[in-house]
This record gives sequence, C-alpha cells and structure tokens, in this order.
Amino acid sequence: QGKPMAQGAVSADGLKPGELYMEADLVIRDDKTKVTTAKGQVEVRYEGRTLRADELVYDEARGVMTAKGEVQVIAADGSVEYADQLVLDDAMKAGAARGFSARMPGDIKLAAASAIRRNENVNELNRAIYTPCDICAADGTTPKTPTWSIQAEKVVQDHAHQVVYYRNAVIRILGAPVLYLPVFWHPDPEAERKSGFLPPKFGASNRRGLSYEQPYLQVLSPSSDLTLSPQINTKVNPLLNAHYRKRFYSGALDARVGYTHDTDFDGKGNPFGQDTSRSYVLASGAFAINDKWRWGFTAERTSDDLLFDKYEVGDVYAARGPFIADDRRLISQVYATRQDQKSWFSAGAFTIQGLRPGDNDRTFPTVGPLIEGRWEPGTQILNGRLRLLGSAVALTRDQSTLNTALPGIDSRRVTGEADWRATFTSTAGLRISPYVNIRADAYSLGDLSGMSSTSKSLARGLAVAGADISFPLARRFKTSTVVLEPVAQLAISPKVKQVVVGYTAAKAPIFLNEDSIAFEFDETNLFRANKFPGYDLYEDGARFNVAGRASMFWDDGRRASLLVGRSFRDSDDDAFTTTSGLSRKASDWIVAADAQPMRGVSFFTRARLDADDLSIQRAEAGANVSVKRGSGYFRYLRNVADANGSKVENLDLGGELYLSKHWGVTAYGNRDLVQDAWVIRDLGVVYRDECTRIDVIYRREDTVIGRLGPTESIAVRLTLATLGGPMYAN
Amino acid sequence: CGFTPLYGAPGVSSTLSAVQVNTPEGRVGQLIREHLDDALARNSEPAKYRMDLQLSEQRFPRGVRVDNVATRYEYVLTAVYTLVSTSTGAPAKTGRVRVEVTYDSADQPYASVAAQQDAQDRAASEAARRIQLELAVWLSNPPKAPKTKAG
Amino acid sequence: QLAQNSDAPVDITADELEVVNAQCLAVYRGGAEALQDTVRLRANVLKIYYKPGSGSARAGGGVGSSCGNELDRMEAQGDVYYVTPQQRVHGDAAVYQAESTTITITGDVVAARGQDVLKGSKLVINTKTGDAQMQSGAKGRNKPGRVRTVLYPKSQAAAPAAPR
Repeated sequence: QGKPMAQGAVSADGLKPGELYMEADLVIRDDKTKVTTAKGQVEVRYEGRTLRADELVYDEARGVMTAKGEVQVIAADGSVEYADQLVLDDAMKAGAARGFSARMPGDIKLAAASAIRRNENVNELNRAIYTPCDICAADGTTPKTPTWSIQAEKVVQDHAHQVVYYRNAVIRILGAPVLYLPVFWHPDPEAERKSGFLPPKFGASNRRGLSYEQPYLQVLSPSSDLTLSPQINTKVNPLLNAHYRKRFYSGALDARVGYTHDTDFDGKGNPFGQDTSRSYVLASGAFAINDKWRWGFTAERTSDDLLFDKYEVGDVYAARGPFIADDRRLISQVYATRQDQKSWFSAGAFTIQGLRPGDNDRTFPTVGPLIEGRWEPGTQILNGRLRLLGSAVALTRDQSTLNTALPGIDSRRVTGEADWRATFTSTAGLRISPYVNIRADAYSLGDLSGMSSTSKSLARGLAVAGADISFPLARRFKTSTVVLEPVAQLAISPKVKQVVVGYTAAKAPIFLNEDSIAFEFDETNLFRANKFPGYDLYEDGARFNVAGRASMFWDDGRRASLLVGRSFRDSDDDAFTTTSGLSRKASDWIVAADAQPMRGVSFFTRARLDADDLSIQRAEAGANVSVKRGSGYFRYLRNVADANGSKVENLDLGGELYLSKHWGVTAYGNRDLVQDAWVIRDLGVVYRDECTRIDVIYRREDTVIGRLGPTESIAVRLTLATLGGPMYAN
Repeated sequence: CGFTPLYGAPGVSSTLSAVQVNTPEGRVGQLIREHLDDALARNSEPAKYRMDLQLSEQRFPRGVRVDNVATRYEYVLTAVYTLVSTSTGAPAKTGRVRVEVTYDSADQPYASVAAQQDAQDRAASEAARRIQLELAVWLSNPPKAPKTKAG
Repeated sequence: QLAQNSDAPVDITADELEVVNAQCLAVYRGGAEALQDTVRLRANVLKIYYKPGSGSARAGGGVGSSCGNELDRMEAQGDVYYVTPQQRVHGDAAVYQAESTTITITGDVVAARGQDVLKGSKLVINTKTGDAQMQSGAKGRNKPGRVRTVLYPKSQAAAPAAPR
C-alpha cells in the first residue's frame, strides 16, 4: 500500500500527483471505446507506485486498468507484488489479481491464487500462503519447503487496524499440517508504532482452563501510550491488565495495573473464598529535577499473595528503583538523591509486601526515612583526605518476629562519621596509609521485649585508628608481569558499647542487629577496619589483618590472582557469631583466587578454612564460559552455617551449546548436595533458523523437604518470526 | 631473584596520584570514585590523566529453591575504564574489570537492602584495587613496542 | 477526406503550387494547409496524388484531364501538424491513404489530447473511426524512442467511477 503523496509534492520521478506516466513499445488508442492498450514491456508510474507488465489495457470510461503477463507492482516502501493478471482501478489502488504473490519488508512472502485490493488499507487473498521463511534453497533457484507457513482459504491484511486475519487456516511446519484454526490472526508485520493489536498469549492450565490474552496498544501521543490487555479464561473471570507509559521532558512514568472480580481458586481450579475484587499495581517513576537532583518512586502492591502466579502475570519482580527487594517480594519506595563530583546524598523510605507462603508483612518494618550523606571538602587536610559521612534510619514494626503477640522492635538511629586517610610512599616502594575514623551513633528503641523497660535510648562514640601497609614487588617476564604483594592493616579501637536489646537464657547479651545479618568474612572485607556491613554492630579491640597476594598480568589482557590472609586480635569479640570465623583471637584462614586464563573464560573461588584444622567452613567456586558455539556457567557453594545457621551445599550449572547452525542444546541444573538430590533439572533442545525458534524444555523437579513427589513437565516454546511474542504450551 | 618494588619504579606512584577520576552516576559510581581516590592516593597535584568509567551492575539469584526463591545473591560489577591524558586528550589506556561479590539473602527486608548496599561498597573497593594495580603495572614497564597494548 | 464525415470539401492553400500531370501530382509548398470541415493538415510541403483517369477536373487547381479528381494519397513533409477537435499531432512527415482512410505520422511524433500527451516514433490513425496506434522504433524498457505517454486518469474519470 503506497504512501499517499502529499498534495503537490513531486515524487522522485518528477511526476506530479494525478499524473500517470506510461512507457511501452506500442500504444493503441481506440477513441470510440476510450480504451488505450499498451504492449511490450509496459512500465507505468503513478503516485509513487510502479507497475510493470507485458500488456496493459486502460479503459478510461470505466476507470479500470488490466495488466497481463509478468505483472509486478512495486510500492514506495519497496514491497513488491507479482501476479499473472491484475485488475486495478485507475488510481492503481483497489484491484483484483490472479496468481498473486508479494514480498514485503521483513522478508515476508505472501502468495495467493487470487487477490482483491478493496481499498488502500485492505488486501484480500484467496487460497493464500504466508511465510517469512526462505522458499528457495541457498542456490536461489531450487524451491525449498518453508520451515513453517500459514495457508488459508482467505487472508485479509488490514493496514488500518494493523492485523492480518485468516479463515480456515492451516499452520504447516516443514510442510506437514500441524494446526487447523477456523479463525486466526496476528499483528500486521509492516506496522510501525501505531495503535493496533500486539501478539496474543495463549495458555492452558487446570487452574484457569484455556486462557487467551490479547493486548491492544493505543498510542496516545508521541510520548505516551496505553496497552490494554484483557486475559480471558474459560474457568475464571477475565483479568484486565493495563500498562500506561509516559515520557516527560525530565523523566518517565511506567504503570501497570490489573483488576478482576472473582473468587479465589486453588491449584485444581476449584473456587473458594469470597467473590471480591482482586487487583495489583506495579508502577515506577524516575525524574531529574536538575543536573544534580533526582527523585522517583515505585508502587508495587497486590491484593492476593498468589495473584501473579495464578494469572501467570509476567515480569513482576524487577529492579524498579534504588532499593531492590528479594525474590517474591514487592517494594514500594520513594526516594530523592543529589550527586556531584565530591558528594552524594540520598533520602528515601520503603515498605515491603511479602508474597512468600510464610511471609508475615506485620513483621517487616516500614523503613523510613533512610538517609545517607557523603561529602568531601575539595582541599587536603593534614595532607590527607577527609570524608564526612552521615546516616540515619527509622524502622517501625507492627509485630515482633519472635512472638506474634508482642509489637516488633522499633529502632531509630542517627550517625555522624569523619574519616581521614593519608598515603605515603617511600622511594623504596613501601606504601603506608595511616587513617583515623571517628563516629557517633544515637539510638532510640521502642517496643523492646527482653529488657526491663520497653523503650531505650543511648548514644555512643566509636573510633578506629591505624594504618594500611603494602610493599608490592613486581617482576617482568617476556609477555607478563607478576606482582607479589604483602599487605597488612593495623586497627585499634576503644571498647565499644554494643546496643543490647535483651539477654539469652544464659544471660548473654543480645545485640540489636538490623543491618548486619547477612555478614560473611571473606577477602573483600578482610581489610576493612570495621568488617560489619551495617552500623548496628562494630568491631573493637586491636586487630592486625595480614595477607599475601600474588597477581599475574599478561600483556594480552589475561589475568590471574591468589590471596591468602588472616586476622589476629588482642581479645575475643562477642560481636562476631561463633560461626563467623572471627570470634577468636586468630581468625579462620581466607583464601581467594580468580583468573581469566583465556578470552571468554573466567573462574573465581573463595574459601574460609578453620583456624585449627583448616577444614572448609565456607567455600565458593564459579566459572563463566562464553565462546562462539555457546555459553555456560557453574556455581558451587558449601557453607557450614549460613545466615540462618543451617548447613548449605548446592551446585548451580547451566549452559547453551550449538552443535550445528540450527540445532542446540540448553541445560540447567540445581543440585542440593545436602539432600543429595536434584532440585531442578531442565534439559532443552533448540532449533533455530532465519524465521523460527523452537525450544523443547523438559523440566524435572525432585523431592525436596516434603514436596509431594517429583513433578515433570515438558514446555514447548515456539517463536515464529514476525508473529511477535513466543507462544507457550505445556 | 629479579623482583623489584612496584612503587619504586620511577614515576609510578607520582603518576598514579595525578589521575583525576570523574565520578560516574549513581551510588556505586560515588563509591568507586572514593575507593579509587584512596587506592591511587590522589593528592592535590594537577591532574596528568583523567579517568572515565562505565559501570554496569547485575544481580543474579543463586541456589534457587523449588519455589523460585533464591537463597543467595551474586552482585557483579563491571567497570570499563579509559585513561585520557589531560595534556594531549588522547586515550592512553583502557581496561575492563569484573568483580563478583556474593551474600546470603536475609529474611528481613531491611537487612537484605543493607547487604545489597554493602555488596556495592565491597565490589567498588575490589574493582578500585584491581584497576590501581593494573595501572601501576602498566606504568612500571612502559611499553617498548610502539603500539601501546590496551589492557 | 481527413475528417470523419468524408464528403465535406477539402480546401488546400499554400504559397506556391506546382502540378506534375504525368504523375497526377499537385505539390503545394510554403505553409501548405489542407482543411476539411474541422480537421486540418499542415506541413512545409504537401503532395496530393490523384487517381489517374475517370472524371472531370474539380476545384483545387484543376489538374489535367487525364487525371481523375479522386484523391489517391497525400504526403506531407516537414513540421507536419494534424489537428482535429480532440487531439493535435505533430511529426516530421505524414502519409494519408485515401483507400484505407488512415493517416500515418512518423518521426518524433507527439500527440496531445487535452492534458494527455503521447510520444512515439510512428502514429497510425484511422480518420474514419478515430482509432490510433502509436508504435516505437526501439523495443525494450528504458530504450530511447519508446512510446511514452502521460495521462490524467482522475480528471478523465470525472464521471462517477464504475461501482466496485
């Protein structure tokens, strides 16, 4: 369908609109009947379209042109339509053709016994075939059956509504009929960003019966659009999804909402519970106030914990703002940040909605305000650099995590910190970097349960001073350089007043610990003066961290390094848990290595070995491989006691390998070595060519912690080029 | 046995101190600029080099249980740095550093946000250390061959 | 007879007339023009050939008695114009055959009908029925000298388009 010429605009070949240029070997004109016949390689150019044929009869009275023999119509956008015989109106827009075929942009082929062009927007084809796949073998002449094609009694291509629909369609794969559909449609591949249908999603499950979701994109303005996507199910009421996107001058807004009114239903689809409205919202917005200030929000909420799983809503858990919740948790936050070369300020607040079966939202604190400030004066102070840091947070909980009857601990903390560091390098190559860090915390706690009074407030001063020493030695080899680096750190702190919130049965103090739960001693915090990740716990006493590190740099970019280290302290520190490896005077050993031995391959491993018998307390190893033929990774983790104190050992591996140009194998496995059972195993076969990708994935989930029995499923994912999103069936 | 002090080589330590790092956007950008200033021992000398960084953060769930909940997270920070000489404006050295840091997923949401922010800090400090060491090695043996070998 | 109603008188004018009895030929030179009813044939040189014998001399220069006054053929050379109420044709030369009432115009022929313009190398028109046939010397697309025409279908089909 040629683009309508703007009035008066002269097309490339100099023709003004309404002018029809015809060129032929012979032109015969019959005045009485007003019929002009042109013979011999006729070429007609009219309103941006070109028509070529062996013979053309133009009946001016009836305004009909009939072209015969090797007819081609080349539209302005380059798509070409062929026919043995073509009847067109004199505007070369509407018409009928016999033996019609077309090659459209995106390499789509459409052929039909006969075709009628109703008007500029609607093409009707009878006994037609549609395929984007190659129909000729590589040599370009011998015909090859297309990998897949859709044949139908009638095909209508409607450019106005951007849809191609078929009556009595048969989808053929490698020539064999696979699926018969009385009516079938898909988006018009030639459509640009115009309002119209998007690829539908089919689904079938014993929960919702057959499910069909048909999104419709409505373009509201060049900077905003709305996608309405009702999901119609046979066993339950439909779920209406709406996705609104708006881009402003200074930011963007993205909001997804869903609504249905129905009872709840279980795994088998039997309804239970009240018939009420159920809905979800997943929205986020980020805006720049000026080049330094930014603000934004995310709003993630659902009325039922399992709504997303029951209606198979996709892309739910995503990082929509600076604060990210863990798996199966929704986070609603508001934040503002200011940044420039030497300073950072962020203020925010967030609440969490847990969707995991055991989650109790009342035990999750509302965190807010959460403030962090970092500022450096431009100049040097005592020829070292000074950094001022500020932090504050307030956590308010409705319910205690230990005892549901009690209100949860509320805590409010404000912290101010000054950090000074200088670095001196002697000509002999010894680098000494003295530092001083002083910090003041103020806590105010409420709803305490383990203490005499339910509220408590305290202030404490903390300090650490010391020096980092390193003396790297390098040796140049032919194509590489090796660096041996002895590293040491001295750190001295006065005794710290930890925040006590209760006592164990054995009268041992329980310290407030909201932000340092996920703490592991490894090579990345070995040389941190206060190893804890958060503010609530603080490492005190005198300690001496020491390590030896060897690094190797090849000139062609390959890298390798190894570190062995340990931490010594003057006295035991009860702030560290016994399983952290740091609670005793001589800590566990830390070993860490990483390497990129060749392009596309990288390893890393780290381990903590027991101080006395060098037994593995925690070990982690990982490898990533990505080469032309495929990619893969494996991760191994062994931990005597994780954050919740339980023994963990698992193996994660996955990969995709292409055996030939078209065929490939994908695999994913997650084995729980403590239970000595495969948790999840996926094995997939992939076929891909220029117009198809078929994934057949076999998944087996095994007995783990009291699940019923192993469940197996085979998922077939068929992605047909130009038909939009993949179609799932399992 | 052939090993010489890395910072003993002429000009290594002083040149490192003359690298001005441009702060990339975001929290991890600020953190890596702070750690680089400390690792390079940036002083108030006029800058001989300017360093631009492109950062990309990724977070992978690991040890995924059957109910699709990850028991551990891996935070990967990739930093591509370009050293540009302030006098000629020509790029002197580029490099890419990839750091993986892992942490357990805590049940309490504030603890997991604190762990994420700590992972950013640990990854930024490790990336800064590796970049500093690569630059020191690069400065300690100026390339004899005319073509400078990009890292 | 040039025009479709063939019995109207043919009036021929020119600067100079030469008669060659032996060939029953009358040669008009200098802006010669033959006019019949509303049809006009103009050229630098107009040669009128009459059929020999049968019939008396008639108006139009009184050819010798041995030649009849029935027209055999007309030849026009040089800047030839064949003008009818519907169209104007221009070419380098033209030959009118009385027998088949067809006129053939050759040499860079341009035929204009209203806005439509038809160009080619040889145009054959049947003056009785009005049928015209434009041929081109060269064969094959984009060759120079092919028949070219520019039409204005929208204006022609002013009448409502045939119901589709």
